[in-house]
Amino acid sequence: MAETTKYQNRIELLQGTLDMLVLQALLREPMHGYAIAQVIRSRSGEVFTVETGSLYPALHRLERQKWVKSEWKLTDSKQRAKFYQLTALGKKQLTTDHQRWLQLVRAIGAVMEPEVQP
Amino acid sequence: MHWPWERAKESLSEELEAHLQMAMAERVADGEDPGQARVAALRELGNLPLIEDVTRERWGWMWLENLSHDTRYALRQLRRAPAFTATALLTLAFGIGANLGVFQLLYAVILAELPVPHPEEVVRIHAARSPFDQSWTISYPAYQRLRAATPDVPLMATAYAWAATLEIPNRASMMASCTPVSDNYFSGLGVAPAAGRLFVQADERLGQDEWPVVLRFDFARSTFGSAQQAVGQHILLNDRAFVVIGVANRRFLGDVTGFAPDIWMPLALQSTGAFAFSWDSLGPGHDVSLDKPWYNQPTIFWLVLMARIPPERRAAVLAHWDQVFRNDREVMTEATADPVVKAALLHVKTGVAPLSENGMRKKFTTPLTLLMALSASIFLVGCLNLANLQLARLNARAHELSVRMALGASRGRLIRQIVLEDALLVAGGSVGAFALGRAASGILIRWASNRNSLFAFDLHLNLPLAALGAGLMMLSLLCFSILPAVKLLHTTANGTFPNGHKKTVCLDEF
Repeated sequence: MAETTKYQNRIELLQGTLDMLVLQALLREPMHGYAIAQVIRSRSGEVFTVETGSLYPALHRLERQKWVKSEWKLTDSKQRAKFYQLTALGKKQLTTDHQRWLQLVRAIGAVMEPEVQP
Repeated sequence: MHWPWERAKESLSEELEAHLQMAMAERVADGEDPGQARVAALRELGNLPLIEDVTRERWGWMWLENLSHDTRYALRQLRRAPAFTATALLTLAFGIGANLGVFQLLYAVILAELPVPHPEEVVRIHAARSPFDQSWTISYPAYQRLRAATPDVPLMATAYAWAATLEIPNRASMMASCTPVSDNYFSGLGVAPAAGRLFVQADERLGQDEWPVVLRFDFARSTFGSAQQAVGQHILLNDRAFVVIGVANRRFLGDVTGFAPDIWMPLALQSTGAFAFSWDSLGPGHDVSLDKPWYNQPTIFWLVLMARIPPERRAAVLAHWDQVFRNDREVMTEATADPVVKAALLHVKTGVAPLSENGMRKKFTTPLTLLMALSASIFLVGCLNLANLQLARLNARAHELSVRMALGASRGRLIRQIVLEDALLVAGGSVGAFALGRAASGILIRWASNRNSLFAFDLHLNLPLAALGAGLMMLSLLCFSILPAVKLLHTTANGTFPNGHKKTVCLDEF
């Protein structure tokens, strides 16, 4: 039952941010889909859930856009899995997405808490 | 069959399976029971086939996969209804074929221009009518004078010659049609050779041991195998030695619509006396020696003129030629004694006429237009019949279609499948139509020609013909497939399919 409540606390991802989170997760090293989902969940403090039904379509779309490339490799536990790796094009896209995200956060912050702003 | 997407699909399944295995392994490591771990991991993963579907859509070539499925499905459907398939194929082949066949002739006879650069600049020159034949022919000396008067205007001359006996070593002799032409004929028209070279001034030299000839492309190919192989061949024409110096390009069939000479030869050949030419003269009593060469006799009229003059220069050039031609015009009036007729003849001015004005167009415009209208109506009737047949067929398939819609097939996909099925029919019918059209053109030409000489036209595929073929294909597809399919599936928008056994949807309802 504790499991269920934990899931209920999660927030559905903002539309369009999944791509950015996936690219960010791949920034340091190539990863397979399961690890990407885990990384996003744990780094968000268990707040974000990445649905498999959103993750894989996103990964395949990113691959088609040449922002990531993939390769079949063995994991540490000898499980064959498809590893995704950020491309140069993907890095550029991540920078753009990040910039836009910061802008968005600042703008929303300014609207919601005008007195905090100098 | 192993399509590229089959492998990609397997790879995707394996990827999701790996995800499941890793999720299970983590749960087991956390102390869960393996059986329960699998169930929980599967629940967390969600609807696997749906995920696969959604992911595959991201690949961007689902349409190709669908198309391949639909094509196979369509072929199965067509095989299952052989009577309908055969009827549709035959109707389309005949409907489109008849139109293509007639249009090809209509185009060749009425619409096509001479296949040379700027055909609108090329005109026949009418200097004077010959005394007896009333043909627009002049003498060789007069031609030389006119040509010398305007060196910058290509003035070409041709003559009519009888067909000649052609002999090629180790082959049976045959008759070949010949057209004698001036040395500037090809250069003036702007015809390029397909092989070898065309006439130059030196080819017009008198008394050659071996005379040069140029062949028509198709004649060269059927006689020597190819244009390249024809060049350099030694042949005999009426027992005189000739060498093939070149082959005109494929589309050039001469300057007279419907008449394509096999061989072009220099005008100077007349001096050999080996060939029969068509001619006119001042008649008995005047200084005419038909047995001697004609190139220096101003009283034998045998050359037809053609020139390339830009329209804006035409008036000036013609006026100049009138002056140069005055003496020859007077010579030509000597055949008549009546001073009134003579005066009238002297007042004739040199004029131009379009190349197409050779009787062919006048004779065949009406019959060909009628035939075109007839074949167009055959096509339309065929399309209407097919549309009715198609509606009846769709109606009979209403049950199948409604079940498939109930199972979640989208209306667009169903229409696409039906249209694809018919597109295959149209494609198959069109292949038959092109073959049939070609045969129809051949039959029509035979029917229109007189017994001695067959008309020759350029029947190679051209852009207007291809455009007409494609247009008729689209039109037939629209008439007998897209409209009925949309119409039938539209009626299902109300929730009920018409029952094929009780209610018949027919064309009247459009």
